[in-house]
Amino acid sequence: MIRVHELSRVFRSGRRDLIAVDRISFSVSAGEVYGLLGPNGAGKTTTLRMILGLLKPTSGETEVAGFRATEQPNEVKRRVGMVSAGSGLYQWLTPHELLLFFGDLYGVVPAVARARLQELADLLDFSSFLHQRCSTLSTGQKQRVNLARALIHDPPVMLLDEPTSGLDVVGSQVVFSYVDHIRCRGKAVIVCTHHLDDAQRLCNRFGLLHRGRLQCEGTLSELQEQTGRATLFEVFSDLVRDDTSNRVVPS
Amino acid sequence: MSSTHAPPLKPETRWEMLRRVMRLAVKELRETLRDRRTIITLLLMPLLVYPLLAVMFQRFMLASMHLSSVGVTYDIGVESTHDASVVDRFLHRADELARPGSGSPPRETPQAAGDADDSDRDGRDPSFAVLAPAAEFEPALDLASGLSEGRFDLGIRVHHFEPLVNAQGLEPVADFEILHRENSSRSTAARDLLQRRLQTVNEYYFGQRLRRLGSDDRSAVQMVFTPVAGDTLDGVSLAAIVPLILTLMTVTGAVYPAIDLTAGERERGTLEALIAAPVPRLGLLFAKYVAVLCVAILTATVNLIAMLVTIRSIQLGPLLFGEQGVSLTMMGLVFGLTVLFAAFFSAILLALTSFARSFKEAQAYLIPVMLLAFAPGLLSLIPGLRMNGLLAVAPLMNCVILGRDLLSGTANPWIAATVVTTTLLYAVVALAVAARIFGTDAVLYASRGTWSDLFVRPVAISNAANPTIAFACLGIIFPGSILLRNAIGGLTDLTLELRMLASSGLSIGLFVMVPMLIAVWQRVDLQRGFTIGRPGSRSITAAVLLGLSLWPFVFELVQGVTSIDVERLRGLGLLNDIRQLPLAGKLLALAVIPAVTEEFFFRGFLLSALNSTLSARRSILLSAVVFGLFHVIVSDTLLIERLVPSTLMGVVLGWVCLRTGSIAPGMVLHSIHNGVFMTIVHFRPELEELLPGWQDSSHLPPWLLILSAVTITVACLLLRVPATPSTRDIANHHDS
Repeated sequence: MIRVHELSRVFRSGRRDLIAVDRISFSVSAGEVYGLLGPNGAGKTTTLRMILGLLKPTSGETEVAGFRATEQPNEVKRRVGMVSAGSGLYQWLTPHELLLFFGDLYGVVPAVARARLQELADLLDFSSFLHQRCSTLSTGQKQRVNLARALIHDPPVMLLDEPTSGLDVVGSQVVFSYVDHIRCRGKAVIVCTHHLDDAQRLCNRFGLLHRGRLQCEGTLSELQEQTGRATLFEVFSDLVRDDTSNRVVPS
Repeated sequence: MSSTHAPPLKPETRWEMLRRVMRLAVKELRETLRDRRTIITLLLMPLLVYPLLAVMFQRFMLASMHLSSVGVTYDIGVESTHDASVVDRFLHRADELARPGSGSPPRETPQAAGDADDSDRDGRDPSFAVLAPAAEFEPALDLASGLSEGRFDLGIRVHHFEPLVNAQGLEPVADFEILHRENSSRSTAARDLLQRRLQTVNEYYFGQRLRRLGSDDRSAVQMVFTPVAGDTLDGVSLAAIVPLILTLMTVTGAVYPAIDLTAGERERGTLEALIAAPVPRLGLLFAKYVAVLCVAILTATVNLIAMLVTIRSIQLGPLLFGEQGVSLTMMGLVFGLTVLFAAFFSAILLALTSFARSFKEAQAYLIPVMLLAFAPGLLSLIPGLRMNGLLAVAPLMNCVILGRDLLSGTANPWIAATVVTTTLLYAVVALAVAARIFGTDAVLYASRGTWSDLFVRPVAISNAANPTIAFACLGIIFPGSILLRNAIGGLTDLTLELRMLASSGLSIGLFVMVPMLIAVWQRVDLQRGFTIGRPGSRSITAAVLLGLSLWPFVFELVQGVTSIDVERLRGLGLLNDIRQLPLAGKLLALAVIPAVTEEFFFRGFLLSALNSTLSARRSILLSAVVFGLFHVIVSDTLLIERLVPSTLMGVVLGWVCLRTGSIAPGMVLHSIHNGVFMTIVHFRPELEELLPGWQDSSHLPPWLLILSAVTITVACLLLRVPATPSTRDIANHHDS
């Protein structure tokens, strides 16, 4: 469902080029939750943005359901739901208005959008504040609305960027249930996080990204076999310690 | 990478997309109108500002009326009570002589006509008050210090006085030293007034003496001043204040939503979710534009109503709009103009705020722009400023001056049409700029300098320029041509040959070099992007026939030979000298070079750019209208009569270009067409001998029209028969 091939992105910073993503390749099938893990600045968010077509890759390509983001960005966007940590809500709209608005943007028939809205409100438990202005919602409530927004057009692909960021235990639990729900619905999911416990709980496979490079990839047992380490945390710690290469090169 | 394509979810028609964009606009508008900051600028500001302005204006008027009813009194300081009585005596005498029926000689100075009269506007004379020590024994006033400290406006020292009327009954005489304060307009005015008053006494004294001596007391020049009503205002035009305030308030209303819907969205983190939706960025931007425009129009409406109510309630109408007042039609037209201005400025605001990554950054961009916008608005208040072709294309100024002319009932409909067209063109260009920036990853993620995104070169080579780029190019050529032609017209020191050379160089620079540079920068294939193909002999033959046969119909349309750029020649300062040139030079400089260069841009660059996205018919029509408008606006005048023939010529030339796949036949056609008119003008005296009275006739002989129609038919048939494959055909073949 998602294919990433030799994907690179270089940002120009002053007179230097910063390699944010360095020739990474991986794929995610339907019904699979792929954990793209790495510390801050590893290139996780940049990768997601390139998959969705919000950022142009410097080289390489991405495909979603057979459509290349560089060639048919709108076909890709129609098939992807994205939730990122920095996503905001329209403060003067209610969740009800906002979700119907995004349903409309994605071409969902109003009756279908209303039915789906109710279903999501039940799933994520936000019926009680459905008609309250978004500006009055708490962080956890806003995140629930954001998760619903990404699913309102029922996309086959979900990209979740730090979905539990800033949430308390209850809020995180909602996210876990949500991911389980979309996995069961056969969607291909990529979850970016640096919370390894969350990742271990949510994902089927993992890609460990550090300084733009995909260091290793596989299921937990495959990673344990490759590295000889017992937990994801130990694998990750070794990785960060070992890789000291300078990723900044002169322009 | 091998892949299996999933079927598209549901193909969306253009109409569905448009409806969705409009729903998006409604959402943007709803959100904006719910924001209390919008309500403040939309409703509260006009409701508070206008009554407040009215109160201030009323107080100002009352204060002015009070001042004028009191009249001006200048204080004169003297050193003693004796001097005071002397000065008083002469001033009293001057008052007596100035009074009608006093027997004083007629005053022949301009002041007598009332233009710079001693009287104020209400006919009340300024007066003098003489300040002296209270009694004889008090110390003398220090005139110098009293003047410098501003205790009085003038000082008079009386050096000599002969108090008694002598034996011949003549006036008393005195020597005055008059002191005034430097750099003080009040003191200077008092001095001038005193001088005029005493001059009256002196004139009477000299007249009296001359009459006693039996001489003629008439002046060398007798003058009578007769005032005539003029149609220009010497003072600041109050009628221009109304559109100026309206435009400024409209800007104020549009600023907040423009920032909020672009930079504000980015700051709040909602822009990414919006850009992630499968709606083209242009659609998203257009929805925001509609929302900003609606708020601007609402603001203009509320302001206009508040202003009208205020003007009516304090009865300012006659002062602002004259005795005829202002009709509803006039206000409707001014409102329409404000809507036009709102369309223009909303696009400008969006173009600017699309660059910004935060609310503060957007404000930093907008404040200087608003100040800059205020300056031309104020310039439009210049007394006696008349609308002309140049001002009609000047952004903002054109709207304010047209608003003033509408209110004063002196607007020219053609000028108004030009203002509307150019303002809409500027709005389209601004929106095109905004579309190139809005939602780019540079703005969204601040990954690089956003201003440079405007000048990003495409990676791939294209067969034609983007229509946006073509219109941006037009945005350079259009005002550039007007300004530079005016500049050449001002170079009167240059010889005729040099001016013609400069004119040709200007045509080549603007119509060839500018689009070429832009095309190279935009990686446009020059051969295809300018439709440079080798035409067949049949195409050239048809072009020659059309070039020779179209002119009689143009002649009939404009009823004369004005199509040969008489006004343009005048603009270049060539009109009077043109007869000195040989015909060959004229044909090259004024027929061939303009034709070739214009074809290069209008049919080569613009038409091929339009045809890359529009149908052939629409492309031809649009490029022809632009071509027609270009020939209407000439420096400081408008040649409206050229709109129809030039547009029709544009249609013919566009059709020939697309039909033959080359700009060369159009260049031949256009050159011959221009050349025929130039030749007719050159041989005008000889033609007059051959065909007496032809210049006075508004129609050509029917046989000539029939011959031309037959030739045109033959040429069209030649073009319709399939010719050799053109460059475009070859290109399409290769592409397929």
